[in-house]
Amino acid sequence: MPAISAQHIIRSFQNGQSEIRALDDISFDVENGEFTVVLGPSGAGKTTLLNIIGGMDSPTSGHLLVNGTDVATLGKRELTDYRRNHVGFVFQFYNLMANLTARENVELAVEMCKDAYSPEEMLRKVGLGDRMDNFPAQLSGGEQQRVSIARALAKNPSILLCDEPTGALDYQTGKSVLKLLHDMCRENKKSVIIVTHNAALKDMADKVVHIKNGKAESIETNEHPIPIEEIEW
Amino acid sequence: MKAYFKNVLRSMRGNVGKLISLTLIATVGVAFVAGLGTLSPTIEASYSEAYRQGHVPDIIVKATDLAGLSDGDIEAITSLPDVVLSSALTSVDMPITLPRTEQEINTRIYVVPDEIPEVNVLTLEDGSWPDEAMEIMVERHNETLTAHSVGDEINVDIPLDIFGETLDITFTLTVSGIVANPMILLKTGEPMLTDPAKTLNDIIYVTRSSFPSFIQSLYGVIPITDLYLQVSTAPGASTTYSDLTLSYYSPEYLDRVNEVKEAIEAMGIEDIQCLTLEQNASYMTLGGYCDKVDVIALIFPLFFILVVALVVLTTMARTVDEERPQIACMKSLGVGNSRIVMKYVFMAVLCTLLASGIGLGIGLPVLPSVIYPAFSTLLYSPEMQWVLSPTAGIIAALGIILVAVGVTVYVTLKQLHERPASLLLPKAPKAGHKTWIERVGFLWKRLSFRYKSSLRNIFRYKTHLVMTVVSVAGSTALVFAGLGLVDVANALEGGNYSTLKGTMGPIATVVVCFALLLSIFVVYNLTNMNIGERQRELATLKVLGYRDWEVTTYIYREVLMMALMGMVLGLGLGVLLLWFLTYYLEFGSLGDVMWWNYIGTLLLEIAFILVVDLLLSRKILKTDMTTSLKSVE
Repeated sequence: MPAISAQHIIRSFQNGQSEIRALDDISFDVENGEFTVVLGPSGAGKTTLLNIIGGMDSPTSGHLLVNGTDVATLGKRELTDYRRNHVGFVFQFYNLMANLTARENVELAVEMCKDAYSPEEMLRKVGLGDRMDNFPAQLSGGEQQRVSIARALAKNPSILLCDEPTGALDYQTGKSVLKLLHDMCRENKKSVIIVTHNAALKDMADKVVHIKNGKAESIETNEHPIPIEEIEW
Repeated sequence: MKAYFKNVLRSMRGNVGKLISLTLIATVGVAFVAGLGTLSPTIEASYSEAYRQGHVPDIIVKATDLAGLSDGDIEAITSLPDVVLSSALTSVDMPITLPRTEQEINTRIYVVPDEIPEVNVLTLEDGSWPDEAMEIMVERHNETLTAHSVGDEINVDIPLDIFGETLDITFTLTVSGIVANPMILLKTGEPMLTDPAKTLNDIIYVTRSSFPSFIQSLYGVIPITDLYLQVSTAPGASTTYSDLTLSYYSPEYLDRVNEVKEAIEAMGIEDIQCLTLEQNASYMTLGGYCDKVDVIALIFPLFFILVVALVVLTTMARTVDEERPQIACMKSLGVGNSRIVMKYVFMAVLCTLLASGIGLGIGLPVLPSVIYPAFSTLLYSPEMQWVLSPTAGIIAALGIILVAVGVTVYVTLKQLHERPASLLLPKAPKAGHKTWIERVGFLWKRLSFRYKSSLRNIFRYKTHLVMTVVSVAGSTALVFAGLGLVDVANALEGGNYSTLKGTMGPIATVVVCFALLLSIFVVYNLTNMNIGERQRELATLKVLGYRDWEVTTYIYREVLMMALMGMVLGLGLGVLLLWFLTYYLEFGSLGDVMWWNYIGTLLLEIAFILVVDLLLSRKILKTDMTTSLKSVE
C-alpha cells in the first residue's frame, strides 16, 4: 500500500458565475520513504495540491488516502489532528516563531505530538547542536530552514511536505538544505513531497509529478536519482 | 485636491466601525463632564428660583433679648435706604411638655401677621389660615417634625405665672392649616436656634389675632423678635433680589447682603443679631453639596481626557498601521508629510468634534435631570430650572480634541519616518529576545513552555504592553472608585447624607460604565492589532496542528496576562483615587469599602475582557492557513 494515494482529485473555486478548476483530476501515488518532487510553473495548481495534502484544504471531489485513511473526507477537527500527527511542514520562509529560540521552536511542535523525538537530538542532527539557544533573528536563512526541518521531523510525521524549501535561500545553502532533507528522509524512512518550480530538483527525486493547468501531465520514476552534490542549476 | 478628499472619505468609510466607536467613547466622556459641570449651576438656579418666589429675607435681624426689638429700632432699621421690604414677627424656640407623657417637644412658635407677609411668603399647602382663637398652622412634615393633619387637636402644657405661682395649664390647639416656609427645605430636620445640636419636633404658626387673648393679657404685648428684611440690589435701588434672576449662591448676592448686614450692625443697636442665608441650614447643606459636585466635576475630566487619548492612540495607530501601503504610495508619489498627517488629523478632529457636539447636547440636559431628582430625598425640591452652563463641558471637549490631534500627529509621524520602500511592506514581526524575567532563573524554569512564550511576546510588543496595562489600570481604578463611592455613601450615618447616596448612584453608574467601555474598547483594539500583526504566526500554528482553542489561548493568554498586570496596578490606583476623593470631599473613608468590592472590580474587568476575547475569537480562527505560505521579506 502506498503511503499517499491521490485519486482523481478535483478542487474547484467559484468565481462569480464561472467555476475555476485549480486541480483537475489529479492522481498519483507516493510510496513509503519515497522522495517525490511535484514540479510545475506558478499557477499550475501546486499550492492547491500542497494545501490538500497538508490538510489545510479539502478537495471538491476525489480521494486522498494517507496510510489508508481518506483525508478528503475528514472534518475540520480531524484535519487538525491529521496535521498535528501525520504531516511535517517545511515552509519557504521558515515561519519560525520570532520570540522563541531554535530549541523552543522545535518544542512548540513537539509538545503536542505523541511519538515525538527530543528537540535537542533533532537540532543536533540538522547540525545546530550549538545554536539551540539562538533566536531566529540570530540565525542565517539556511540555519533557520534547518530549524524548520528539525521542527517538522521532530514530530515524527508520516509525510514531510516542503513548499519551495530552497526558494528563499542562496544556491549553496539551498543545496545543503536539500541534502539534509534527502538524508533525513532516507534515514527516518519518511515520504517526502517537495513542491517547487525549480526543474533542476527533479533529478534527485525518486518520483517526479509534473503539474500543468491543474492536471498531472506526467509522472516519472527515477531508477537512479542523482546525488544533490552533482546537480547544478 | 479632489482625489485627496476622495481618499480621505474612502479611508473613513473603510474605518467607519473604529471611528464610530472612537466617537462614542469621546461622546460619553464629554457628555459626562458637561453634565456634571452644569449640575451645580442647575441646583443653585432651581433653589434660587424658589427663594425668589418665596421672597426669602436676605437678612433677619433677631433680638437676643426677651424684650424684643423696640419700635425705635424697627423704625431705624426699616428706614435704611438699603432696606426695601420688611416684615416683623415673633419667633421662639422652646421645649413644650405634652400632658400625660411628660414628653418634651422642641417647638418653634412663630407669631405672624394676620395676612400673608410680604417677606418670606408662607405657602398654604392644606387647610386654611387660622381665623379663630386657639387655631394654629403647622409646618409641612419632615423627618423630625411630627406629622399633623388639618383638624388635629394638640394638647400642650404651658407654664403660666398666675398669682405668683407657676402652673402648667393644658391648652388644646387645633390645626387649621399646613404651610410651607420657603426657608425650611431640609427634610432631615431643622436645628433649634437655641441649641443647634437639637432638631425641632414642631413648628407652629400662630397669627396675631388667633393668639389666645388671655395669654396676651398675661404677657402683655407680644414683643417683636424677628425683622425680616429684603435689601436693595444696589445702594439707592428699589429692586430686591426677588426681582432679579441672580443666583442666591453668587458672590454678588452674598457680598451685597453682607454689606447691608455690616451697615445694620454698625448702627450700634444693642442685643441684636443679623442672620443671612449663610446661616440657614437648608441653604448651607445645598451649597455644601454643590461644592462637592464641583470637585468631582473637576477630577473626572482629567481621567476622561487621558482615557480618550488612549483610545485615539490605539485607533489611530491601528488605522495608520493598516494603511501603510497607502501611505507609502502617497509618499512615493511626492505627497508631503503634512498632507498625509492632515488626513488622519482630519479624521480625528471630525470624530472628536462630533463627539463634543453630541456630548454637550446630550450631557447638558440629561445628567442634571437624572441626578437633580435625587436631591428631593434631602430637601423639598422646587421644580428644576434648566441651566446650560457648558464651560466645563467645553473645556473637556477642547482638551479631548487637542489631545486627539496631538496623538494622531505623533502616531502618523512615527510611521512616516520609515522610507517608502519599507512602508510598502507589512510591518515586519519584531525580533524576539530574552526578557528580564529569564534572568530570574528559578522562576523561569518553573514556567511552562507556553507561558514562557507568552511572556516573551508581551515584552516583545512594549507599546501594546504599556497601552494595555495603562488603560486596564485606568479602567480598574475608575470601576473601583465608582463602586467604592457607593459603599462609602451607604456607610454614612444619618439622613444628612441621603442626597449624597442618591447622587452617588447615577454618578457611580456612569463612571463604572464608562470605565468598562474603556477597557472593552482598548483591549479590543489592541488585541485586534495584535492579531493583525501576527497573522503569520497564527497561520503557522494552525498548520502545525494547533487546535482552535490552543490557537485562541495563544493570543488570550497574553492579553489576560497584560490585563492582570493592569488590574493589579489599577486596584492600587483606585484605592489611591478613592482615598483622595473621600479626603477631599470630606465624607466617609476608604475603610467603608466592602471587601467584596475589591474582588468584584477584578471580576467585572475580567468578565469584560473575556467578552472582548470571545468577540475576537472568530477573527483568530478565520486566519487563513495559506498566509503561512506567503512571503514576508
